[in-house]
Amino acid sequence: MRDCEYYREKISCLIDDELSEQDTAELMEHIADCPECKALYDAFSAVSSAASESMVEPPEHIAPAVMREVNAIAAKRKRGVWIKSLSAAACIALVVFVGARAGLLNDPGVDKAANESETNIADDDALKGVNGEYGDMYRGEDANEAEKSFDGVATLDIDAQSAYFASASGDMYYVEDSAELEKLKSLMAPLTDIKRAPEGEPDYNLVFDCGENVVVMEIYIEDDVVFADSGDGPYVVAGTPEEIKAYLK
Amino acid sequence: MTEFFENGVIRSVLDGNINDFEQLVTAYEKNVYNLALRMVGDPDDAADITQETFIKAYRALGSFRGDSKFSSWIYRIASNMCLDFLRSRSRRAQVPLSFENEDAEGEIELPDMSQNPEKVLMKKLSMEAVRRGMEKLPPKQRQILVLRELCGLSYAELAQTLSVEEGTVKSRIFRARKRLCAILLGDGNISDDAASISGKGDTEE
Repeated sequence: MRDCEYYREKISCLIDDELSEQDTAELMEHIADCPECKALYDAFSAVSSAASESMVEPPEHIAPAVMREVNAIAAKRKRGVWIKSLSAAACIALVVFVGARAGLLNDPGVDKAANESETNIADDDALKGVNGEYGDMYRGEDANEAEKSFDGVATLDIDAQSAYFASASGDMYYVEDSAELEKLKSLMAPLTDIKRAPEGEPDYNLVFDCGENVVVMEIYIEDDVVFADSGDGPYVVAGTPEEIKAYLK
Repeated sequence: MTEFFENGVIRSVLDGNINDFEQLVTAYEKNVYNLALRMVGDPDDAADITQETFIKAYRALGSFRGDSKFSSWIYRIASNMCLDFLRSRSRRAQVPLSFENEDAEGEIELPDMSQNPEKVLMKKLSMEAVRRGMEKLPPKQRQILVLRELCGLSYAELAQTLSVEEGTVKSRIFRARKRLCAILLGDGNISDDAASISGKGDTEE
């Protein structure tokens, strides 16, 4: 005969209908002979029954309020599509600019084209340089070719007030500190185009909240590299997986 | 709403049929609101948390992969928001709130029910007494008991929602029930002449 301690947790499982037939039979046999465990079973049953009956109706305003906000977010996203395109175009221009600065591109006209672009999609203002070793962070397939380094780390041209990562499992990680936000933007700057696609579904959506608009990027974190895709194809970001994961705490 | 139908609704929302999201809100708002209400106690705060839960879910819907149930996903968002709210309230009130060691806390000793088994549970528990008792539980015990009792999640679903092993689910629910019984006995809600409660942890919050 087992002692009561063994059966007590099983009583809780029995209340929840989470006990096998064999365990249920053994437990019921014990309860029949043990007044204390029978009392515990009765107590747990009564508490469970009362707790499950204590549901109340939610206020009526919740669903309409949610749908108003959801529609407002959807409208913002539609308006934000042009910013996504602009952001992606800025990234491409950035790669050209960075390549030209690094001496990776042979045609001197490319540098001029990148800097004198009349499209105004991305100009030098979009490529806010700060001290750093851009080339050292290159982890693409052409790493050997790109080992040259130069001054200047780029940042995304996004006028965001805050950002958040949203995982598939519903976790949200907010970036509201302005210094952290600036750092994130520089980590998310493109390091290179890629020669292979990231695998599977994105690990996170990274949403930059720009007030009137939002910029949404899909983020893929792999062992040695992080990809981002803002709608025009994935690229390798400047930040390392460790640097990006530091935001996910 | 069946899981199959639910996944269809989610796909429809992601395809741009925004107003279909209301079907998900309607299906889960009662459970989410009751979860929030039991967790934070105040109806207005619970309504705000419920509203914010669905807005967050909508924002992150594109990253919902469907490898877990939507219900587990939405309850996870809601219960995490409730814990964040309680932490924030605790900081504002400068009252320390322990979340981390609930599973490792000392055992609650149940009263010796064998002495007067016929007198225990002499009266039916009132829902209000249980509600008040649940408010005295540590946050994570309250969370799991509400998800189990009110939202009806199975142990497997609870494990998925809370990102813990099923063994932890089992023991945490058991501890929560024991503590709740101890609280109700102490308040005279289970038996008028119940034995006194001994053990540590009762006054943790």
